[in-house]
Amino acid sequence: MNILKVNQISKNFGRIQALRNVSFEIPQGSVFGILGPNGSGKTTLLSIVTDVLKPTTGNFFWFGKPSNAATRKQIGTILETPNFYAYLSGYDNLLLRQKIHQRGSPKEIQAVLELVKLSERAQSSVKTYSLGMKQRLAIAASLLGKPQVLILDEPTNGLDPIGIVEIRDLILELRKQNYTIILASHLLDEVEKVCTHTAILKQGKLLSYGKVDKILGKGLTIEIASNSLTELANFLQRQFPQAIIKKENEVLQLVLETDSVDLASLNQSCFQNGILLHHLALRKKTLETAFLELTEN
Amino acid sequence: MLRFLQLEWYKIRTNRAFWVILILNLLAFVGFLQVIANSYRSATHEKVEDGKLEVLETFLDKPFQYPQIWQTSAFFLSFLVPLSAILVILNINNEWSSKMLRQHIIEGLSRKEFLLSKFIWLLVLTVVFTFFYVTANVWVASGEWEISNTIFYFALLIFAQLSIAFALGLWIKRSVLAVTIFIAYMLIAEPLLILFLKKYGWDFLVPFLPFEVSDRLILPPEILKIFSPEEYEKRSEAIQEQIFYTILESTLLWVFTFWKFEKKDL
Repeated sequence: MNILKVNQISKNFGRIQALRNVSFEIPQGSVFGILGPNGSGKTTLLSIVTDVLKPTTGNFFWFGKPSNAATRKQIGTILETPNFYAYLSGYDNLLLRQKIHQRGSPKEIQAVLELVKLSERAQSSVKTYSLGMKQRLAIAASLLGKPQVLILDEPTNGLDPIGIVEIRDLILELRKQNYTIILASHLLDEVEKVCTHTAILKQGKLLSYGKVDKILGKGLTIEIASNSLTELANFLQRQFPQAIIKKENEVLQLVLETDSVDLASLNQSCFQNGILLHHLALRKKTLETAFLELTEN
Repeated sequence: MLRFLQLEWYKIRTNRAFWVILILNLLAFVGFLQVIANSYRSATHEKVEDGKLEVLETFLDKPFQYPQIWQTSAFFLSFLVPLSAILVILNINNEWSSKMLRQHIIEGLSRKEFLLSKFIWLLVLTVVFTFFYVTANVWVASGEWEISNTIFYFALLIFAQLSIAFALGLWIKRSVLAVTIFIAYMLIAEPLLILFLKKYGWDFLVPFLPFEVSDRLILPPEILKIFSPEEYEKRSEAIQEQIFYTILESTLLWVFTFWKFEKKDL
């Protein structure tokens, strides 16, 4: 079942086209990463599906229905910066959100505050919180009412390295609990670690979307070096006629359109042909590589 | 409805700025009326002592006696609407500046519900300011308590003019600008517009102007009737019509606000 279906959404701000006919579907239980450089339309897209912005054209459906206040109550969202009444305490801010959701109890507020490790500062006003604490409070707020879907727009912004790891672990934990998570980020490493699916946006256009494995596609790179790079390059060209061979810093990069390669056999073949290798390493294609390939093209 | 009131209550109960401005409003209502009453009483008292107004002595305090005080005070206290408007504009501006307006929508409040909660909140504020008006009257008045229709007219004026303040606060996201426009239009632009309309024979439009429509619910103090009795009588007779026009214009303003807000990017 699809949690969200986006149909041909475009959004114009005056002459600027922020989104251009974007369509995709998000399956239930997935962690869906929306990737893109700054200004690619990630936040605009999330603002539209949370009804903050109105699309110029196109439509979208949550849980198979047109979006309304009731469907939004099943979604926990952090959009851009964490938003709170600064003069209210963390606890009161969450209480206010519970009143909007019209469900939950004070116990639930305590539970989510404990989850994000803010119980001790619950009664302090939000204006005394650091950015990281606000971010954690925002995550606590998004978990109130046990939503089916979480939308996290740059959730690790402003967090220290430990905080980033904590949020990543929290996302993985929520994934185990069968939450569907929509995560917008420009931290490709983050997305690769936690996401099952991804969509890549550039200048408002959807370049690619699907399972992370599919986006990565086939392909790996072998770093290989010997005393005579010319001799080695000729040998590799004969062995792998389809491969691309590039020279970088006295090391050859052998790019292969395959999922696996036997490095031991390769080493042995080289040795049998009189080539003594002093460097041999396998580099798998990362989301970063795939992202750069797609966006630079 | 109770839910919306609860929502607004949670927002303001620990908002120090809100309570400070609210108390300032109460003090201003009572203080301003007391100052005017004192000035009037001391001025007329001197004249009585001089023997110039001997015949009228028993009627002299009338503008500040029940029931006339309701009208006198409503007329003067209506000049304090900008102070009340600041409270309304700051309240809606706080929703913009903290980005909580969009956050509420994200969390499952519909745009209609958001405006409805603000509408109900404005009704509550109208009751509060009307209570301040009554308090100021009780504080200043002399004579025996007597009720008057003017209390309702004042409440309607407050609601109509604060609705304009709310609309400005909602569409102009900067509170300073919204307050400036409100005050400049109310105290400068509209009076100039009235002069202009009268000068060029467009008088019939004057009773429909945004502030004038509700200002006409409150007659000037009866003591001023002597300057233009005919005009005074005419305005007195037109109050029922002005009630209708005020309610109509406020309704149109709210309907437009609901309609436009439904389509607005937040």
